[in-house]
Amino acid sequence: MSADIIEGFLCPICMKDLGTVSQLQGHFEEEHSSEDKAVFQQLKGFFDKAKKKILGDRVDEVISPNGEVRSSGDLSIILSGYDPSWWEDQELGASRSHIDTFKAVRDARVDFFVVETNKLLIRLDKLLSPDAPIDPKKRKAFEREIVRWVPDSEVPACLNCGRSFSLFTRRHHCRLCGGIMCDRCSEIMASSYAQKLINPAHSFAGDGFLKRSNSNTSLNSLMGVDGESVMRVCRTCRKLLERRDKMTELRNTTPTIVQIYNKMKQCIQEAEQIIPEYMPMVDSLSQGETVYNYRQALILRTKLVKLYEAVDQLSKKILVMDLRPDQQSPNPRQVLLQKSIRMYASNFMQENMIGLQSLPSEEDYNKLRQARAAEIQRRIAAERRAAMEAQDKERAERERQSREPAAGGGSGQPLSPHEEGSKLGHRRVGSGGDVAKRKFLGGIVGSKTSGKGHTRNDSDDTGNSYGGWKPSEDPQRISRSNNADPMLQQMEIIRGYLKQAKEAHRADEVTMLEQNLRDLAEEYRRQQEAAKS
Amino acid sequence: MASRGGPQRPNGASQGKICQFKLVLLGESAVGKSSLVLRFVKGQFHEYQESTIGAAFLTQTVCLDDTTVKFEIWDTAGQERYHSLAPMYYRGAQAAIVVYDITNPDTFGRAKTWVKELQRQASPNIVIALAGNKADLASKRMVEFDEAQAYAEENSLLFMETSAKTAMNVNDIFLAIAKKLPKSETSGTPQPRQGVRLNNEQGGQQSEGGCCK
Repeated sequence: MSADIIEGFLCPICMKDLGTVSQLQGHFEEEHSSEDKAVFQQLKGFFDKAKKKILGDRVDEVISPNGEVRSSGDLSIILSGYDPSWWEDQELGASRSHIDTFKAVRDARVDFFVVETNKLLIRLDKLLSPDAPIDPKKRKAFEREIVRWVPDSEVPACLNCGRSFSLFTRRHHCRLCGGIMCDRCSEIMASSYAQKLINPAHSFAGDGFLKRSNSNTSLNSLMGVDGESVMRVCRTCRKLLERRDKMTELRNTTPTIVQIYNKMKQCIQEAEQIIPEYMPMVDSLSQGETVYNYRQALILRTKLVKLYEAVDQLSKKILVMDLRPDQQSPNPRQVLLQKSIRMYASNFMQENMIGLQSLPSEEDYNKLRQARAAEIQRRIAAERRAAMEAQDKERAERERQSREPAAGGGSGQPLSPHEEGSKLGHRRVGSGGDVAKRKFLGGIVGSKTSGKGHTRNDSDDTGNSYGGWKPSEDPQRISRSNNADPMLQQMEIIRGYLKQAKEAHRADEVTMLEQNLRDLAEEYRRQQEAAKS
Repeated sequence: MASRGGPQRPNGASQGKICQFKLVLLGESAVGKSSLVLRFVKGQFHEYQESTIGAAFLTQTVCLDDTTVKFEIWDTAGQERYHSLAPMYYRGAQAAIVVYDITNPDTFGRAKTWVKELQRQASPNIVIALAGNKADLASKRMVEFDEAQAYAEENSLLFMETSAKTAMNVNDIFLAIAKKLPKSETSGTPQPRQGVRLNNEQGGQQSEGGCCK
């Protein structure tokens, strides 16, 4: 394959593999020192530079400055990287965090905006102070006192649009930064908006910036069309002010949808607190018990119903809410959010409200109460009777057991002989003949009949009958099923079995299980050791 | 015969032999190992048998002529994650039932690997039975009776098709195993002896491990 990577002590010119450093040096000296000197020099220069760059000072120590051949040897070493002492272990996956740089840049930028905006707001505050003169001339002087206006001579053209100023294109000053722009590029800010900016308590509705009037005189900088005082500012200042305004707005107001949602959540929470209180009340009351007060339950119920209604209405409100009335098509994500909220609310109601049991009417309740009292009387009597009977039965049982000899050994399942007979016709493999087989069956069936009235019925689930023994499953088997080591899990299972076997007094089983537990422990220890080594 | 079995049983403990055998059930998961053994031990069948965790332990006693055979049954979990437990249980077992599901050819393949593993790793005179379970689902049969029987004969295994649901051949397969097992060892002795041998085996392996270290 031509694409194979060759490596070794390769001559850089004829690509021969020379085997060792000295051989390569010798080869290079003999074969190539005369020819291609220019090429070599070029190469050497390049590699020298590279070496210096890569290895820094260490290169200089090793390479003698005038030994051309020697350095060519070194060069080949560097080329193939065979001398490990030249290279430090490279750190794999080196990374560099730019977060600090980013933060520095960002902080500077944020600082700049904050300082700038604050400066503008301070100026604005001064400009709007109540003792500002109203007379246009005086006002201008007052404004220029607060903000230094850029001299007209410094700006020959509008800094925003580049139109040169003339008799018709007048210079205008931003009242906040003192910059110069043309009439078209200036913005007119309503003073009520400005008031709001410097004092968030000041309420303001509508557009903060007015449409520019047609007039291009600087005199109307004081009064707007509808008589409200206005102020001329540049676009940069407008942007900064608007940004600040938006931020305070975001910080101070929660969107309506969030407010409604919070209200709904509160209702749900309240309802969830009441439900566990109410449920046992209803249960108890409809049994005719007198533990709880009927009136109290009624009050709770009304409260619950009201809360559910509120949840329903609020969630409906959220569903139909138009979050962005100015845009034509609503944002699909917002629609999804609204739908999800509604779904959540209706799920909550389905779960709780539909299952909300109604209280019996007061009349019914009284009847129930009386019925219950009677019932209790009856039950007490019945229980007393049953207890007596049970005692009698127990005594009789004890007597019967003491008379009966203990039965041991094997017993089988209640197999019907008919079933067994039909099975004999089935194809069988194995060495046993039919006669022998009948013998087994005789054993199993016979032992069953010999059980002296101890024939098991299928409903007997104690796992403790004669013959077959089966420990019951641990109820915690599900939780255990995720245990990490099957070996430990099994030991746990066996311990459970062992306990059951001991309780059932099955000595044989106890022995076997203990043996198995020992085996398991041994095996587990062995596994652990194997894993360690 | 039934009348003879009656008086015999209580006396069996003193007169006749009692043999105790360790039997292990192996096979792919969900082939019906637990159902088979539950049918044998308790005569019950659950349509929705939960899958076994680790290995379950059951015992059942059957009478063979004058011998009482007590089966100590280890019903192993078929799931792969419990495979590491299986050697613990077939080591020292005198009998094994390898179960497959006649409606699923993959389980038959898995049964063959179990047989191979038993022949290699278990005690050399272990009695192996092959059980093609779920025989009641004959309409969905995917493993032919003849094929399985031929395989069983080749490997000298006991073979029966069983159904835990209808109880077909369930007791028969256990009885056939009981009959094939050697009865010379009496009353409880085989068990401890097996255990000792097992420990010796383990000890040997351990010291080997020590050498390698």
